[in-house]
Amino acid sequence: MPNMRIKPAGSARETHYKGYWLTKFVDFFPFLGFLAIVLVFGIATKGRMFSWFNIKTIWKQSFLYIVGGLGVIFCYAQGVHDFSLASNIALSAILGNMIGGDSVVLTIIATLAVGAAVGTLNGFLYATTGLSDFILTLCVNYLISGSLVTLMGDNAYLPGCPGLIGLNGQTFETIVILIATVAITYVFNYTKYGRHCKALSAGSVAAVQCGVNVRAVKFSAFLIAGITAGVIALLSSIRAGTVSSGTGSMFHFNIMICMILGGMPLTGGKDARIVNVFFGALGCMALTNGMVMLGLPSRMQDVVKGVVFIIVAVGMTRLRDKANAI
Amino acid sequence: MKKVLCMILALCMLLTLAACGSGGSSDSTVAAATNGTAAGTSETKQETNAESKELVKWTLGCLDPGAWNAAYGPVYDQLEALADDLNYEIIYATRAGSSTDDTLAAVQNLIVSGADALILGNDVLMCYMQVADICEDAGVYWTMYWAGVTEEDRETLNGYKYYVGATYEDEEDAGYRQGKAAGEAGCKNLCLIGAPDGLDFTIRRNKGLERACEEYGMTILAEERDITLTGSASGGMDIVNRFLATYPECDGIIIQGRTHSCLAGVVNGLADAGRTEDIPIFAIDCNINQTEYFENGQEAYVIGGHHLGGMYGAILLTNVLNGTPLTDEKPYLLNSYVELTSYEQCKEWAYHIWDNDAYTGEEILQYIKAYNPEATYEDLVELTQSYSLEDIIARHGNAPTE
Repeated sequence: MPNMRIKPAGSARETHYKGYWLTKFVDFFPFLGFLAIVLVFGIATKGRMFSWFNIKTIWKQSFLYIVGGLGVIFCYAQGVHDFSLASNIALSAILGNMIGGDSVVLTIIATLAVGAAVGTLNGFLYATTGLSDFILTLCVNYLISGSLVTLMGDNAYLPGCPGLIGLNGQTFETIVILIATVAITYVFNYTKYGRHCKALSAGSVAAVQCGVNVRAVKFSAFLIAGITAGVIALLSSIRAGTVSSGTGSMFHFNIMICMILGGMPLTGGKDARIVNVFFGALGCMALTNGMVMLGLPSRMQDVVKGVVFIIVAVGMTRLRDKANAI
Repeated sequence: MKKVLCMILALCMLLTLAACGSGGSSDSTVAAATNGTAAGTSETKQETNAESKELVKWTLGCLDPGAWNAAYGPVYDQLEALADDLNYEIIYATRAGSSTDDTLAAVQNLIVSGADALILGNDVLMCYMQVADICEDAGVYWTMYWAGVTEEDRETLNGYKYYVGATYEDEEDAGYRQGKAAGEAGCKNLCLIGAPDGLDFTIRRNKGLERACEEYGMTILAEERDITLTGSASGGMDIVNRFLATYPECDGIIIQGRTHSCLAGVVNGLADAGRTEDIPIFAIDCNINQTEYFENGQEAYVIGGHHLGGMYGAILLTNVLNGTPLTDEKPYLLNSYVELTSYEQCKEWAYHIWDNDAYTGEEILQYIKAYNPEATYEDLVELTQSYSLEDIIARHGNAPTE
């Protein structure tokens, strides 16, 4: 039955099919989760959480994860994950900086090109060899990580491109978020490509029968993730002022945590939505921020985070299964 | 629907529980100054606490150092031991990862959590200029310890109102003294384990070691600085096995960094190969097992104990926040190293530094102008220079014999 209201003939009162509210709840879960976090911590911190400075801080901290999440959403929609993202960010940042030097344009081009090259490698191998995304990207991750130390040589870190560092600020970040959101939302929600990415989560065979060019879609999702790594490398060097082998460290896991909290299904499919990225990243940062504001012991923070993520992941999976079965 | 409601309520309850459980004086955020006072000073301590009420109450923000280890642990033990007397409360922020972005995010979290001042370690070495900007915007005072800041950056930092100062170590001297110890022990062919190249302290330690090598005619046969190996005991064992297989002529091991994580593996690797007696270990940084290693002849020399940078920062900050800065300059204070060469010294060290603290609140209050109007910046400099194991023993007495 389609997700619609039933209006019984001759009755003014609207009724819904069984399970209607459950499906609505699943739809709104990312927003409700975010709201719950903000409200609980807002009350617990006696409103300190809502200070303008703190809101700006949460926004600033979420910025990279939102941009990163938007970039990898095509992979998530297919139910695949790029575990080489963190090392790709470091590699792009280091090589981009080494090649570009003080030239802004050259640094941008080189950084994006390196990210795209790694994405191409991942995409090509994934689309042609049939290797599992986990094994493949983990291997590429080791491959890159191992070369980072050699690449850095005697340097623990490199200064970022001065022309780029000057861009650091709220305005720049807002422009980047706006561009990324508009572009990704359009492609993801309003093009055939976006729909094909979601269709692939049902399996290659089903997707082929639906007329999806499986290889091209698989390849392009990793290519976009690679370019995203390049973008994150640039943004990170702008923000931190330096690049090192630690740039972007743990980024793929942090993105995954944000996505889970935002209600993104790790198996992909039609339930993958742009809002998952926003509410996930903002909720995750608000959660960490709130716990620090309350002075929660660091070890306890990890425990609370772990419990919240388990509840969200298990809860969302079960609810979604039920809603989909209706 | 009921199940959905139950889940929402459970989530809210969990978060509320977490929120309520941490309110007020959380045991981790409010420091306890109980273990640092020498026996017989309890009365004085009570008096001191009473008088310290005059000091402004403030909140100190620190980055969570993770699990206790012999390098970071004593820095925070000492800070916590002084909290009651200097009238501050410590809050910690955890980093989501080890990237610079994660460090900056944690710094921002400390600020929004109400920290009046920050004491930051070498975690911020790759981004201290960004930290300076963040703190300047927020009007939060901050200091750094273990801060090998370049001359140029130091000048830039001096222009920041809320930057209070930093402490550093004479790394070149430490590297030289470590090499000298190896040279005097008759070593000629050394293998080296250290922190990654390019870090300011690594460059300086190398310089000092090179000088000692020249002086004593020693050669560095091999180096291992890969953090994936030096960061764990099993990695330490792998490194030693590789060294011994490739350079059987090795007659001394220099551990120039990451000692707290890899030393156990290095010691066990040498023991397994039956080379403990002919390959002595010379380390920078203390390790929690060093007393046992010295007793068994598995370690010959340690230069470390440079964990008072945080405390010097706390003295500077307490004075600034009480409106009585010790100096108008942005000091760059020397944080001295201590050399340990015997089992007896290590035993004293374990008692005075790990079981207790190098300084009590009562001793440090003498450097707070609001408490002691006679306190001067020169006194603080003198304090930094007087730090040694002998000085601690002179003030607090010898470790009790078992």
